[in-house]
Amino acid sequence: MEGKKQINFVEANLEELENKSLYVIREAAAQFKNIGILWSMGKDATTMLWMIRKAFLGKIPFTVLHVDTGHKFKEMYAMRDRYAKEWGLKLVVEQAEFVEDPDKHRERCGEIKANALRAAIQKHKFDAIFVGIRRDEHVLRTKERFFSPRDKEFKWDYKEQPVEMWGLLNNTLEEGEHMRIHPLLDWNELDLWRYIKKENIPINELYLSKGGYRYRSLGCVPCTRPVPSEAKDVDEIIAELRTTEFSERSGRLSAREQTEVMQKLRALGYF
Amino acid sequence: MKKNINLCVVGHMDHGKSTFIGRLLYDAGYIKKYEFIALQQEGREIDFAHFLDIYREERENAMTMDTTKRFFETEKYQYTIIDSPGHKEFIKNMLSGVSEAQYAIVIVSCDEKERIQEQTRRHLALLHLLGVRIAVIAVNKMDSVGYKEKEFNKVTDEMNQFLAYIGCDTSATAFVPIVATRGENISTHSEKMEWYKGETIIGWLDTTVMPAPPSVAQPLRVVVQFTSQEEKLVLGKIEAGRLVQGEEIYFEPAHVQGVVGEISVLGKQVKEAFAGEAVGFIVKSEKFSLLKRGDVGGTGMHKPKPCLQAIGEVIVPFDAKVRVGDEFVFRSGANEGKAIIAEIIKKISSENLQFMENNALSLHEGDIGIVRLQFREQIVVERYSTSKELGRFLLMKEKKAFPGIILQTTEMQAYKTSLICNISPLTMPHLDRLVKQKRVAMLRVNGAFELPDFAILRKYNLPIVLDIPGDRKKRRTSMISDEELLNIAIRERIDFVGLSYVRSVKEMEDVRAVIEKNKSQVKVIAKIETKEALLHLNAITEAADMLLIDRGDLGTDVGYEKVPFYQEKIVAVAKKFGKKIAVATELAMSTINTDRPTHADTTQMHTTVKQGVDYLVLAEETAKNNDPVKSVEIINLILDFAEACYCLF
Repeated sequence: MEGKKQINFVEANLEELENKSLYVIREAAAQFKNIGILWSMGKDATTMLWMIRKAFLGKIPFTVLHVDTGHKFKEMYAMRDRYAKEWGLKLVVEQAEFVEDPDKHRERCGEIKANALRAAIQKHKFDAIFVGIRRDEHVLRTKERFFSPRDKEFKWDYKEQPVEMWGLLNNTLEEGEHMRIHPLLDWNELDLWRYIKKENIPINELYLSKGGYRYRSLGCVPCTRPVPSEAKDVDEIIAELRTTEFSERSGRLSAREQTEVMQKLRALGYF
Repeated sequence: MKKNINLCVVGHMDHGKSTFIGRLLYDAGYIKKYEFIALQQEGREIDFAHFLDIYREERENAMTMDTTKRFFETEKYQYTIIDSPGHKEFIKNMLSGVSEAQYAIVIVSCDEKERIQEQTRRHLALLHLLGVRIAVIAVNKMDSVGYKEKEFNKVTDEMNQFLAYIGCDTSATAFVPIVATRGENISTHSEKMEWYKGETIIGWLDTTVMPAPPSVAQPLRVVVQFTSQEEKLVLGKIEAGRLVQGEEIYFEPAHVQGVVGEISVLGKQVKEAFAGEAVGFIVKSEKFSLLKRGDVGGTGMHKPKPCLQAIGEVIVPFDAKVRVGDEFVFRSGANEGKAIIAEIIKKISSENLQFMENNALSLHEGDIGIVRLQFREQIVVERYSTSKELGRFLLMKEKKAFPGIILQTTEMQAYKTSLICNISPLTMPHLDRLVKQKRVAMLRVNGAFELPDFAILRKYNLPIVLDIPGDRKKRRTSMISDEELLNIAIRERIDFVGLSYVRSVKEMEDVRAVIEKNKSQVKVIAKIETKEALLHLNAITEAADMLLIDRGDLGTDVGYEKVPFYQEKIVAVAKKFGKKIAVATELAMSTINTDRPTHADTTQMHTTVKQGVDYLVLAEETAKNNDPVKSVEIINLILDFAEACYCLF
C-alpha cells in the first residue's frame, strides 16, 4: 500500500440516492399487501424510517417492528419509546428468547433474532419487510437486491436471485416466502452520515464518542463493542470516516458476523 | 461534486476480469487497508481477483457469481464499477449489472489458448443490444505473448470484424494492451510495450466518456406509483421532462385531464420537478378517482399514448422457453399488466445477432426474439429509441424475468371479436358495470318479452339491437306485433332490428321499405335459422346489413349435428359479401355461476375466433345470470388468448 493514497468512500449525490430510495419504498408499498418495517433504532433503520415518512409525505403507512432480545442498550429503548410517540408509529415489539448469560447470548444472537423475526412474520402475516441494510456494510451484502426473497427457512438463494434491472423490481413470491425490501442498498456509511447531517435525523448518542470510544454499529449490548474514536458529533463522524482504516462492523462480535473475512482479519492480528 | 459514470466490466470467465478490477481499484487507491491485508496471503503474490469474488464458491471456481459494485475516482469523474459474471450460465446476473451501466470495459485475453470465444461474442452482442457503449476493450495477458504488437493486432482485428458484423459503432472505442496482474497500462504506461502510443485505461476513460445527458429536455413523463383519494395526491417518479405547477396534465390510459397543483420533492415544496425525481403532487381533476398506479402523465403537446400491442425485442437469458401464446406479467416503469406473446416474428442468436428463424414457435436459452406483444389492458409504453425509461420492460413468470425493449407500438383496435349482450330486467342492476367490460359492443333486446325503457339503454352510448320475433311462439310474453315492434325501433331510433326466421329476400325487402318510408337509419340483421335461409343465403346476405346465426333454431330445423358445419359455411359467405357476422346461442352457458367453463365452451369460443366471427351473442349469459360481469370476464379471458394465438392484426 505504500505510496498509494487510500480512500474509503466515494461520496455520492445524496439527492440521487434519496430519489432512488423513495422510488423503491413506494414500489414496495404498491406491490405488497402487508409490510413491516424492521426498526432496531440504529442509524440505518432510523434513516430508513425517516425516508419512508418522506415517501408518504409525513405518514408511515406500515407496522413498525422491533425484535427485542432483552439485551439492547437502554439508550435504544429510550429512543424507541420517544419516537414511537413523536412520529405516531404503529409499533409492535416482539420479544425474542431471552438468554440471560451475555456470552451464551452472543453465541446464539443471530439465531435468536432470526427465530423471533420468523415468528413475527408469521404472526403478523407480513408479506414483505423493510430492512435497512447497505451493500458496503458487509461483504456478504454486496450482492443483495432491492427486492430480495427469503424462503420459509429465511434462506437467501444468492445464486438464483431474480433479475433486477432498470429499476424494475420483481415482486414474485412463492408459497411461504416473504420479500426483504432494501431501500438503502446503494448507500454507503459516509453517505448515510452526510444525509443524517443534512436532514438532522435523530440518532442515538451511543454513536458519539465518550471517553475516546464510540459505537459505529449497534447491536445487542453483549454483541457490540465500541471502537476508538474522538468523534463527538455528526460532523466529526463524517471527518473520521473519510480516513478510517477500520471496517464498519469491526465492533460486532456475534458468531454470525464471523465470516471468513472477519476470521482472516483477526488471524492477521488486525484487531 | 464530480459526476458519476456507471461502468460495467464484462469478459470471459478466464480472461482476468476480476484481477483487472482489483488492480484498477488498487492503482486508483480504492482498496481499503483491511481489505488489502485480507488479500495478502502467506507469502504469496497478491491475488486481486479474490478481493471481488467474495463467496467461497466464487473463489474455488474462480468465477464471479453475481453483480458487485465498487467505486473509484479520477481527476475528472467518479466511477462506479459494476462487475458482472463472465460464465455463460450467469448471463441473467450479467444483465442485472449491465443494465445500469452507460459504458462497458470488455476484457479479452491475448493468450493464444483463450482469445475471442463464444462468451465474448455474446457479451458484445448483449451490450450492443442494451445500448451500453463500449469504452475500452482491454486486451489482457500481453505477457503471455511476449508483449508483441503483432499478437495484439490479431486480437483487435478479429474484435473489430465482429463488432462491425453486429453493427456496433466503435469510433469511440479504444483497444488497450494490458497486463492486469502487474497493472501495466491500467493507470501507468507499460515500459514493455513502447510500441503502444495510446492512453492507459484510466487516461482513455477520462478523455472519452461523458455523463448521460439529463432527460429533462424530453417531454414530460411522470409515472403514477400511488394515489391518495382524500388529498387528490399522486406519488410517482418523473421518468423524463419536467413537471410544472399550474400546467395541464394528461394521464393515460386512465384518460384523465387535470391541472398540476402543489409539488413536493424530497420533503420540499417546489414549483417544478425534474426527471429522476421521486415526486408527490396534487392533481386538480374531477376524474381524479379514475387515476391508478401505472398511469403515465404528460403535457398536452405530448400526450402519452396508450396501446394494446407492441413489438419488442426479448432476451431469453437462461434455461427457459418462451412460446407463442405464453402469458407473462409485463412490467415497465410502474406499469404492471399482462401480456401474451402473440407472435415470434424473428428469432436471433445472442451469440452473434445472426438471424435464425422467421415466425418461430418458441425461444430458448440464448435466443433473442422480435415478438408481438398483446396486452390485456391498455398500457403506456414507448419506443426505446425515443424513451429509454418507458421503452424497456421485463416479462415475468414465476421468478424468471425476461428483459426486453420496445421497438414499435401499435394503436390499432385491440381485439376482433366483440360481444352483443342480451338485456333483461335481471341484467339492469349490473348494466353500469357490464357496459364497461372489454368487448361489450351492443345491447340486444328481445321483442318477444316486455320492452325496457330505451331511454335508459341509450345512456350507455352503445348500439342497440331489437329482435323481432316473427314466428316465435315459445316462451313469448309480449304480444306486440312484429309491425309494431318495427315502428318502435324506428321511433326509438334503435340501431338494428333482427329479423327472425328469414326465409327469403322478400321479407328483407318489405322491412327495408318500411324503414325507408320512415326515413329511418335502422339497419337490418338477418337471422339465419331456417333451411330456406340456407337455400337463399347469398341473396339474403347481400340484402342484409349483418348476419346472425341462431344456432338453436337452426339446429331444430336442420338437425343439431349439422350446425357446426353450417356455421362455418355461413361465416364464409358473410366474409365473401363483406358483411359482419354474429353467432348466437349457448356459446358460454358454462360461465354462469362458475369459475371454470367447460372445455366444450372454451373450444367453441376458440373456433369462432379462428373463423373470424365478428360478434358473439350472449343470451342467458347476460340476461339470466346473477353475475353477468363475471361471465363476460371469463369470456374475455378466453377470447384474449384465442386472438393472441390465431389473429395477427
